[in-house]
Amino acid sequence: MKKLAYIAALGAMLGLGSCDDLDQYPTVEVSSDKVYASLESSVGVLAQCYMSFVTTGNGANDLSIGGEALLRSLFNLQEGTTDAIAYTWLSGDKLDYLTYNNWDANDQWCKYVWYRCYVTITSCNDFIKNASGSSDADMQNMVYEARFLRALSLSYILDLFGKGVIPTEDHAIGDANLPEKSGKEIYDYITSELEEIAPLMSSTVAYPRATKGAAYALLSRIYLNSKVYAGVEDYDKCVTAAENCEKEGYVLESKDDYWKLFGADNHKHAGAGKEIIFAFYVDADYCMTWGATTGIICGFAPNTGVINDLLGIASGWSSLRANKAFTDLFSETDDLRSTYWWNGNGDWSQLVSIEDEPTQGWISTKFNNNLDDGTGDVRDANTTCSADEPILRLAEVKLNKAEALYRQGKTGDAKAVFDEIRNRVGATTNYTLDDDFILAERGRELAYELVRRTDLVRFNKFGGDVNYNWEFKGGAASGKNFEAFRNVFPIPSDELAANSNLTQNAGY
Amino acid sequence: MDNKTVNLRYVIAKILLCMTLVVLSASAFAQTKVTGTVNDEKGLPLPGVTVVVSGTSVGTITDIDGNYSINVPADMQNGTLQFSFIGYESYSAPVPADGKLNVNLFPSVTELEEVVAIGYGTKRKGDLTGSIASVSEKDFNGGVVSSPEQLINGKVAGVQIMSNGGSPSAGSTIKVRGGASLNASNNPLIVLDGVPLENGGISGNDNNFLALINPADIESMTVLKDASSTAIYGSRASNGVIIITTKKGAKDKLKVNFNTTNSVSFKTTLADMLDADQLREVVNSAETKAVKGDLTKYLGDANTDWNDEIYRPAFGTDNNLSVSGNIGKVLPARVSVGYMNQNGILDNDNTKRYSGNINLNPSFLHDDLKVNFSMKASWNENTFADQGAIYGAATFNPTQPVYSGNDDIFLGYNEAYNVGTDGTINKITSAASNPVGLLNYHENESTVKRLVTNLDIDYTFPFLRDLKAHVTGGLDFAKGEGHEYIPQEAYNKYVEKGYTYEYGPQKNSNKLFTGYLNYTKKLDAVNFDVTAGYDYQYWNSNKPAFNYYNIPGDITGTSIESDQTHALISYYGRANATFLGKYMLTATVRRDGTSRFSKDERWGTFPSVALAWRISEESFMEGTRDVLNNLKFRISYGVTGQQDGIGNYNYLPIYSQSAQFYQYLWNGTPISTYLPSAYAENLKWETTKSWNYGVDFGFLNDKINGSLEVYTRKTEDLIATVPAAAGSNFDNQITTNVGNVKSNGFEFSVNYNILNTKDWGLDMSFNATWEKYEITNLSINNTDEVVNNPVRYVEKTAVEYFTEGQTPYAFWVYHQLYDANGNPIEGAYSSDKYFCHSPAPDWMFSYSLSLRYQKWTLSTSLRANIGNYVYNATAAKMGAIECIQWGDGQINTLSSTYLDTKFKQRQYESDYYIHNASFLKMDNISLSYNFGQLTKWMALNATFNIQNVFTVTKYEGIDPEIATGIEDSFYPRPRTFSLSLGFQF
Repeated sequence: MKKLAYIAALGAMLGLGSCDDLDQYPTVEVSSDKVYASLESSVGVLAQCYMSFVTTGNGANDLSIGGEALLRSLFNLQEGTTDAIAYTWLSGDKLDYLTYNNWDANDQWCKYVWYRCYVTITSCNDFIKNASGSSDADMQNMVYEARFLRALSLSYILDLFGKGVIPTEDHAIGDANLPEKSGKEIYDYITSELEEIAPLMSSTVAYPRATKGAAYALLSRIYLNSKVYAGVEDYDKCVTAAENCEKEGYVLESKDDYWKLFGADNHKHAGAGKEIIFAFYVDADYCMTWGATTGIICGFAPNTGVINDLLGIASGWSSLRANKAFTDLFSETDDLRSTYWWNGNGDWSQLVSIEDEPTQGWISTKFNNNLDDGTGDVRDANTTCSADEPILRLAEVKLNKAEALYRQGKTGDAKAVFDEIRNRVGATTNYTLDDDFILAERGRELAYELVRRTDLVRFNKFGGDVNYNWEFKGGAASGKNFEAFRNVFPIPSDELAANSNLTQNAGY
Repeated sequence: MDNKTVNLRYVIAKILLCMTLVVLSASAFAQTKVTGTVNDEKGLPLPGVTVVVSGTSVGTITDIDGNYSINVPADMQNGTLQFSFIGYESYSAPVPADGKLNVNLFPSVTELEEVVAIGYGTKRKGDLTGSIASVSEKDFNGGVVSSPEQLINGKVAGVQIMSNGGSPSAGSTIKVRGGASLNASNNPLIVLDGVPLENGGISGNDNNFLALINPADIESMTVLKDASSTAIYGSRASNGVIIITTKKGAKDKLKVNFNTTNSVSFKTTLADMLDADQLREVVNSAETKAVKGDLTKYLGDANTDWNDEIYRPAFGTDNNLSVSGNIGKVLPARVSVGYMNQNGILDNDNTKRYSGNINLNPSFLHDDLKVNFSMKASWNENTFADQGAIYGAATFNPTQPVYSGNDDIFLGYNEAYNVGTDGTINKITSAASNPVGLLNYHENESTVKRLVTNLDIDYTFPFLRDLKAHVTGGLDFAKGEGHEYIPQEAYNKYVEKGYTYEYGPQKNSNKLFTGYLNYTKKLDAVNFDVTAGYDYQYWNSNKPAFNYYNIPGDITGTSIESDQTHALISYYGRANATFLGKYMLTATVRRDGTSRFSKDERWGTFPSVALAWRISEESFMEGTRDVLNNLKFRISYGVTGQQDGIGNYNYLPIYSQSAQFYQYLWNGTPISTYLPSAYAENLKWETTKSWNYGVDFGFLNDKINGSLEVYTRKTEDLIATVPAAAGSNFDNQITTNVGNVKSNGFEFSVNYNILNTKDWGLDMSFNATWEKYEITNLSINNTDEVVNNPVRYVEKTAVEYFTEGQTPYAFWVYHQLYDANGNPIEGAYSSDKYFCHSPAPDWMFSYSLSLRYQKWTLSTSLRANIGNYVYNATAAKMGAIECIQWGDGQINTLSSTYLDTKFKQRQYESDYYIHNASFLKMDNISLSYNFGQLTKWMALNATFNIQNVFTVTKYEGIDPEIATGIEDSFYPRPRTFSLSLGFQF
């Protein structure tokens, strides 16, 4: 009996578990109800929606797909498939398919953009659903910001894939099988969303939060492409949106300070009275990533370190340079933008004849990691750059307006706006205003700002029997046409397997 | 001590007696006195052996030292003496003329009497109804064994054990019947002395958690393979169970054992790359110049064999001392200590383990109360060599010397750099680091301590002796920590100005309470026993946050804190019945509740039933019983579950706070962000239903014995990670219950004890396994589109997939086309991708042999896998001319396959790189000599052993046996020569 007592004591000592023990909760991560009970963590959820464009996760967690951040993948699809970029890291990074314009439904860059956009949208929906009930003015504005980010993500889906699904805050987690939406339906949704929130959004929230101006600027971009997206011509709405944006008081940067728009201090050139309307924040100490401007700046820099000082960086990669077809657009010597190129001190050939030879093709020095005083912003902690990535700036809004006026037949008004852009950089205003000029001017002004492919498609110079070549277009050394169906990218095959309502784009 | 003195007196008395008898006999009845010693198979004295003159009643018994003395009557001078002892083969010999006869007796193993550990109890082997294989110490693999699972490699049909590489800290992949899951883990449940161990690793020893248990302390390992034997473990049983039992104290006299194994290991096959002269030829060739320009300036004058530089003969020592006995005759105890120090063949790779084991098993109340207390502790120190040096040495330019001659730059190693106009040294980005330097300056060390302790109490109720109670309390605690360091001047982290951090201590703990009652009843026609019990197990793993620094002290990254807990509550029962000694029935049921699923889904019930018929006991089999002494048919069915290898909180919506360097500017200040994790609310048990059909047989009193098994398994509600539809969750993939997998297999094993005499012994065993494994469904929506989930990659290209209708991890690649000379044509493939085999073998065979002549024993084991395929990623990654240079400043050497393929760009998706890696390996061969009792108090056994003797295969890479199927910088398995000395006192 004494022994039985011992056994019982042992049992008690070890703590016979009760069924409550089966309810285990994390102590490091935070559960959903706790997150939204605190202002700090609720704001943190929205901050993550912003940050999801530039980083791969938040250091604690990331998408399973890993790979590269959204903006870097977007760069590869928007610039890497065009005349603007020739890669040296072809097969290793699977950039050969993009260079030769022969990608298929397994393309990883399409997957990164598709999934990162949609996970951002789902996170925005989560925030909208949980924060909508608040009566606090700042929180209400944050809900508009989340809707803006959702519209921005969907605009990338619309531009790249031509169709998709539209998840909203009315859907629950686990709701698969959303219905397929056509390009027109997505276009209508984005424009109606932006038109609804723009008048309500604040003009004065601190950078880099989205402002009223950002919503109008994005609208002007979407309306400009209305023919491609939705088969309608909403150029008048484009002009209206651009003018609403200009009313917010943005000002073109001076010629002397133009380079600072793309440097490590470019956050000082954003907001009212400045030129940058909306950008994603990047910083080597706080928001470190290889996925945004680092990929552009270090990508162009030679790995021998020869222009590290010029760009203000610690190490270069030799992975990017431009085709002659693109750098030929910068032939005007007075144009400030023609000076942002480096050609191996004259040693390198402008023409790219060997795909992975790093000493062919010019490299762009437009994006740089220098502070406003000209010194490089090299930090000890890591080799990432601190130049924020500008997404919407006044120059683009003006170019959108100018082109919309041109397409409406108002060439006089249009030329006046183009002249403004040209005068700012010291280029001559003696030019013929036609389609080719506009496409080239946008190439000069908005180089590497993630719109090149969109412009080529709009001017019908991308896929199909077009009269526009660049080195290795379509896989041929001097360029050749590729199929018209490639004006949109394929929906990832994983998505088609997961959602039975989606069908693949024609041709893939 | 008393015994010894008694002995001495006894012996003296006997000698005097003998002498008198001899004198007497000479004159008296002309009897012959025969004396001698009887020893057992190990050369140790056997007391209590009956010695009889055949055909008479004259007999005696051996004394405590195995000595006997017998008077053979005059008329029996030409007769025979017979020696017999229970459990041993009887032995007869003619009466010796000189009156001296020493005899060795050998155990008669009736397989059926052997007792094996099953879950929550033990059972006689003859009574087993499930598919269970037990391996005890005498059959363990010998030589250098750094981790317990290596003891039974090749010994059990259906069990595949593959070391993850040649490093002493590499660990192994263990699969019982191929494993039943995809994303949930495929590891079997390991139960150590009744304590189920947590799978997975710990900081500082991620791959090799099992190695913290000293193999020298293990007495037996039992593998439970079919559902009826594993179902008692319910929710963790789908991949089989391995029960490890450690050595206990003995009830008899004090035994001291000391074993020391000392070894040296050498490298074997390495990656086939171009050597210095071949590289010179390639660089100077016209075709290289056309594509890459003139690279001759990178050719040096040296002829460095980088592989020679990074590998070295590795010494190792493993010493174990154990003392077992009966303290004060009431406390059987065993205490052991061990020290292992094993170098790896890669320079600077080393593992040390100090281990201690205490086992006390006293019994009280006339054996009614048996207590077993066990404590196993180990202290493990690892020095991890930078395995990047393996790829580095394969690709580094062989025309360059190891050292630059300038100790001021990059610590004197030859590296690629250029000097800026202002004299600054610029490292070439993405250039490879000198592999010798990497091994020498990269410090990576860890210390892991582990304690597994359990207290078992068995109580037989005095008022009802058929009823027993058993209680176990167990604790498994481990603590791991370590650090890494790369100096500022080193090439590898030059731009970042070095690298240093300390991690840990990570603490893992696992607490167990088991309590069950067992009622056994033996009636005339039927024996039955019933067991019913309750288990509670709780796990916690806690890892603190830490920062990465460079040498000047800047924080360069962070690792966030992690705290994971989960709990399991179970109720289980088992009933066994044997009718008339020949009809057996077993039924078990287990109900498990886990914290990993939501309240609505967390309970699962796992039943099983098994029937067996010992047909050889039937009366109609009596005639054949001399030849066929055992024939048993078994059939079983069971349902088991799986919840291991998935997250602890996957069904909850949770958010993670961002780490340092991941903050977003908000109103002028960088703030932390909160990222939601994907979750599946309705996650539930994955269940596997299996059928097993088995036949056990034994011929000629088990001289030849073995078994045959056929099994089928279907897993439903498979926990798998599949693509999530856009907008439906916070990730592009979701771990959820989504599909079905089925597998079938066939196992055959046979042991043949050919000879067992005084001078000669010959044993052979053979087993064969065939497995087929298929994913039948993997789609949430049952769409027509076949889901191809990429699962394993070479660089960024997926090569292994989970696809419906295919084996898991099947290769999905293009079929390469060849020209008239048999060389591949770059980029030319016959149409679309196809499924090209998988890493899993179709057949596995193993064969062991043990030959004994007097005191010598020669034994060997061989193993073969047929039908496994391996992707040679080392060749694919460096098999094209583009790889010769990534950026200015350095060139690399290429895989020898380049000379055949002349690829311009790497062709990762070509089946040219996938080879049939079927192999035959001789795992070990050993020769041992049993000195026996060298002195009265010491016996010695010495063994010389060679491991990884030879490999026969068509595969041209490093090693055809790769667990993942992708050979990518694989750490080669060494060939080891070792000498073991075993002393017994």
